Amino acid sequence: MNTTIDKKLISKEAQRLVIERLKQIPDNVKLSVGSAGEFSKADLIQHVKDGDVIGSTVVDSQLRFLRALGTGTLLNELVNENF
Amino acid sequence: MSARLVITLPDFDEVTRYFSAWSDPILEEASRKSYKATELIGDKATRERVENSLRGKGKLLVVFNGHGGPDTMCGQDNEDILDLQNVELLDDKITYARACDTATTLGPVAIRRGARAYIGYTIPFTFAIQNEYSARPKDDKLAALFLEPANEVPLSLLNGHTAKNANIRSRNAFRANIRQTLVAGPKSPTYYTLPYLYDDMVNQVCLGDSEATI
Repeated sequence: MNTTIDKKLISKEAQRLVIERLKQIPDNVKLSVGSAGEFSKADLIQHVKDGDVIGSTVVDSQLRFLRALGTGTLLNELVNENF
Repeated sequence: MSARLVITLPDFDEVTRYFSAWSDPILEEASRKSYKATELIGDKATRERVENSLRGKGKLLVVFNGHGGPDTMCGQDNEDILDLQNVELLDDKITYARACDTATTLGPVAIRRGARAYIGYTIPFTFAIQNEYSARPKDDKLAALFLEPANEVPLSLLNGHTAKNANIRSRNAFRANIRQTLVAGPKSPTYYTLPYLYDDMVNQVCLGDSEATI
């Protein structure tokens, strides 16, 4: 199987997942993403669809969280208060 | 010799206005603890003034607010106020940088060149803002979820905690907000903040001498 196509498929799947999650953001809220600026829900969704740097930053952040949630890392970090 | 605080408070865009407004508790605590504070507000947050403020001896806590990158810290209008050319000015000091990415390169280089401790972020510092509070950032309870835990670093340092403990106390404050939101469940009005609270928490690092105190 072609790995490049696989990566694109995964990426599209991740995009869809992240867009669904971004839809939870209220209309009156902006997210300040470092030096890149502030973005509304609509802006963020567009950046994810475009697959640009901002979109990738948002996707990476969401996936890191979901991975931490799924693997139990998040729970470990929540109960361990000494690091 | 009394301990000093040098803090940059740029205010040229929404992010820097939020960071600066949320620095009031830091300034109030510094005053309570009789720190001599140098506040580089707005147009005073320049490279020249930062360099002048960082010269001299004595115990010094440095707090940077603003935009940043892996090897640069910015002041008013995104002027580079600290980079690899003048990072040795952090020599013997404890620094907290509320900015993006500076703990990836600038922080480690500062430590190699003699800084005592450097607490900052290895990713873009992300936080949420409610549009209706744009003109009065301190009333924005959504931003508070992020900026209060971040404040815990300098507040702890001002209260004599070690750099390591200041980082832990701050991360614990992030933890408390994450826990509270998780427990409230997906119907929580702030549930969508979880990935960003988590990122800020796990990517806030303490470099250098973990036992350093002011």
